[in-house]
Amino acid sequence: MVVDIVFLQTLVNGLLQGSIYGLVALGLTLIWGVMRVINLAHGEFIILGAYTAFWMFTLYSLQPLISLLIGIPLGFLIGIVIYVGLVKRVVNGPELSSLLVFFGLSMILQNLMLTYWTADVRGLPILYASINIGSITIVGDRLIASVIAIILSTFLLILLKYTYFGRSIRAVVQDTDAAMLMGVNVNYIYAMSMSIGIILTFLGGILIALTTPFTPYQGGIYTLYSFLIVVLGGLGNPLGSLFGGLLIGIIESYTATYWSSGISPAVAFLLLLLVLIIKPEGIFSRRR
Amino acid sequence: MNKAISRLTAISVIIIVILAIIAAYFAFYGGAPTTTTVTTLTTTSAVPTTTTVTTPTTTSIVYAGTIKVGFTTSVTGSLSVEGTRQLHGIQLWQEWVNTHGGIKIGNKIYNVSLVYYDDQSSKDNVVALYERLITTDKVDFLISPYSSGLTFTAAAIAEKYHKVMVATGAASDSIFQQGYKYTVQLYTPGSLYLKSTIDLLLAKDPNAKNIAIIYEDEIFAASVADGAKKYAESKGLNVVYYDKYPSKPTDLSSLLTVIKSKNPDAIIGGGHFADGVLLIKQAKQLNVNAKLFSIVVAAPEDKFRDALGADANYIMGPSQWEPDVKYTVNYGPSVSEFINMYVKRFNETPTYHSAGGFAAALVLQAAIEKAQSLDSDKVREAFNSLDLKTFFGAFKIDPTTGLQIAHQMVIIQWQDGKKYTVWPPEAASREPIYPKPSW
Amino acid sequence: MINLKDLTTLSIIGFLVISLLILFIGSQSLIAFFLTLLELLILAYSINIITGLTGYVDFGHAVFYGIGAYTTAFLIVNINTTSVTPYLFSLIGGLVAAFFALLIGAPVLRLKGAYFAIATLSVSEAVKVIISNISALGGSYGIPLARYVSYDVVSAYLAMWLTLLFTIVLAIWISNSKFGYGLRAIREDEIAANVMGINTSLYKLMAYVLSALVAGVVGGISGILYVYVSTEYFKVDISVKMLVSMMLGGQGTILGPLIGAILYYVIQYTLVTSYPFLHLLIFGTILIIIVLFIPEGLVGIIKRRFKQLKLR
Repeated sequence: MVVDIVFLQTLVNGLLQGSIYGLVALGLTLIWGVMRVINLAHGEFIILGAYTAFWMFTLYSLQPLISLLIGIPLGFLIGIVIYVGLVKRVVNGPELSSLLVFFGLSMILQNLMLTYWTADVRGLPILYASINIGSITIVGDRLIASVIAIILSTFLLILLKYTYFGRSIRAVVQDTDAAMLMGVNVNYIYAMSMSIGIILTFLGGILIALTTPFTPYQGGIYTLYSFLIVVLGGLGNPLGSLFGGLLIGIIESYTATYWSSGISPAVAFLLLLLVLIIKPEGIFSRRR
Repeated sequence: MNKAISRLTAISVIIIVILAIIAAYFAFYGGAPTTTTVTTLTTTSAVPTTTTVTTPTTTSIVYAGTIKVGFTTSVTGSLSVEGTRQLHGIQLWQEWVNTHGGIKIGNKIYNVSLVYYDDQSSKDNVVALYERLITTDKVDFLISPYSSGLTFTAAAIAEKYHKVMVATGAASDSIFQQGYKYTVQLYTPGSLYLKSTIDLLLAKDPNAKNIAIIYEDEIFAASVADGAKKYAESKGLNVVYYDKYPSKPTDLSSLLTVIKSKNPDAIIGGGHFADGVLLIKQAKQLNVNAKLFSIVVAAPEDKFRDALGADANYIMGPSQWEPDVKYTVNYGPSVSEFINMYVKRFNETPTYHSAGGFAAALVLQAAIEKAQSLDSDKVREAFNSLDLKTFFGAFKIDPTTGLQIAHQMVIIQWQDGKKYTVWPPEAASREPIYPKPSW
Repeated sequence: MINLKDLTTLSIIGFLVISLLILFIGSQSLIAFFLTLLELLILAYSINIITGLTGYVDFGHAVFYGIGAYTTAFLIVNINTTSVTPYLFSLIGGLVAAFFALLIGAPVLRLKGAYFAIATLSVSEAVKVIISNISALGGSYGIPLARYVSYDVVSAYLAMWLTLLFTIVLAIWISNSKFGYGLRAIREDEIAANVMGINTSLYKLMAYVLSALVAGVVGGISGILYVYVSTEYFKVDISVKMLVSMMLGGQGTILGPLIGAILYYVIQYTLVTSYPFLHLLIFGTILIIIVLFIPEGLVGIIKRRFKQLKLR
């Protein structure tokens, strides 16, 4: 009986953690998918979002879910600024350029956060009680983050698939020149993709503040996992990102329970390698 | 696309390169050390890389010379919080010594100066910086870097030049199994971090049976966990769960799920700040109960309570030193004297990192005074016969390895949102609360 | 009148001579300073072989550095070394790293662009985690070496210098060979290169393996110098350091890694000693500026402006 509970609880843990992974990777799948730039500062944007939620809560007693609303204009603004200032120049260049530019950006952001907000660990208190179903516990704040993850992925999916804007994005991804010929303002599309991507990343960060304690050094891990998940799910594929996250979450969870927590990242990375070698477009995308 | 570059751009670039090389030359050979007194360090101001003596104003002492103590610390990098605090402790010591009669050898009086650099918690510059400290800055004595990993190398360099090095911060036992003859340890070694926790558990609950030990994948945390496991088993406890988790984890729920199923009496271990907080938070969310929680590194931090609120209550943690300890002192300032000095100087309550910094330099001072010499071998010899009780606790080393054998960890527990030293009984300011009530 | 036409050869020989002289007439701390510079130099050359020449961005190159270090440390601990210099083991470290590159190179090099970069990063991170779970390799503790080798800057310096010499000769040889031209063709247009009859898979693999060999040897020497090996050797910061140095100088060139590594090291050292709290910020800004405005690196700029100088 004990084994069953552990097995089921592990599943729940994995799904919850997995949807958080998927959530924080959403912004990246859009940015990387559309503009093909390697945003190594992704984790730092997440932490920025987390700090936003933290300060809103600590200084103004603003609930994180409300902070989500703040995250939208803030993320948009930052996205536009980063696009115009940086991304525009590297968007059509070699990978090494975008890689290093974003790496430089991540150093800058990390240093800024360290200087102004120190390396002390920050966290929000437990704001949502856990739900108990029999002996299985579903952690409250992670459940909320999962729900939001689903909502946001669906939103992104609808945006990409059913709106004119979304179609323009897909056109640009497929063939930039042809899209231009069709009258699509590529610059505008890139700028908007960047902004929406940063908004999503920010929102992910706000939810991270809700669920997990963080420091300015935490960004790197999220960057690494987000890249993993985006590749797994397929670039530019929102549902793929969500499912990729769930897959990684579950695999890590079961590895931690039945083998060792210490080795779970290796299992995740090896899975990624396998996918890259067998089907680089991602598990969940259709071969073009 | 090849755009033409103006001659101006090209020449500017070349000039910049040359300037950079010249700048590095000067940075490398450092100019004269800055002579201003050390200002209160805020996070945004640049830290002077060398500090010199602050000569006391009223004295007519004629100093026979200056004793230079050199070290690197993590001003930036992943250990910057701890490293900076430790730096403050050492700086406070320097000011204290120089305003309290210096160090007396025979009838000569010496004052003290510090030379230090930022090692960024990274191995890259350790060789260059310690070589520089010893051969260019010509320091007389060394203090170790904060990180255990870096200390393996720093101790080897100290060994080569026969320089005594006091290891503070770097607590891993294996450093002292390498045969380094010139390095002595201040801190309680990692393997003993959780010894007092287990003693407390058995004192409060002789029937306690099962214990779960977890640790971050990192040398210090591993030595803590390994030592804890051995000690627990030697005391007849059952280690029902023993596992490590990756660095900077974002989710410990599966680990906690398995622990819950084993129903241990105590859950101990940890790694750094963020994962310690995560552990307790998720333990509550998943309703993982135990009669005792002891979390290393994270629990003794004030930020622990800030991040967890009331959930921090009843959580214990081992600490090298706490402001409310009750120690009797036979050398150096008393506990309250140290705290008052520190608060006055740095505007915040000291943590064990700062206390450790001060104490490391203090025991060095004691050894120099005992040896009545600045000769490294004589000072190292003197360490062997030191049996001190400072504000930091007991100090006595194993003569062969330099390992610390007298210093005890104290255990803190959060009660009513405040941190109290609860163990050992002779140093405690309050009784420990056991068992911890359910979440 | 100085013949500036072959500035490259001049600079390289000049640097090699100067760095050797430092060993004999320099102060201890100058030698130590140069030693760390040499390490970075060799690593920059190492990654130049794969990323610089073929354009495949290896974001996990530190894995070879780490494998070389661990192999060397493992051998030192387990084999009695009184009769032979431990630096011999670093050669074996290089070979093991090269072998590892051979194993994973074939599948991984089929990937393009960012996928390749992410794959190499995954390999590096995976190996890091796996090694810290193997107790025979020190687990979370790493492998301390103080009981087996003594800390010695002079011998480490010689070993590094010789490795640098070998690496530069290798780089020059590759550059002038059909192999090198093939690699550059791959960077320009891999499909066309294939069509022209170049065995791109083989060439890429060879470049990868050679770059791993060099990095592995450096890792081994480093392990001996620092008297300690840990999973820190796999940190992504090391991979990035190599990439930035190479790029600063000009990727794919012979002089590039030399200039780039010197520049990187000098800037980084100056910043760390002068701006302990803000050096990351400043460095990040400099990096961005360089990438945006001087993407071909210093060598590229000089080449374009001073066409009469023969720079390779």
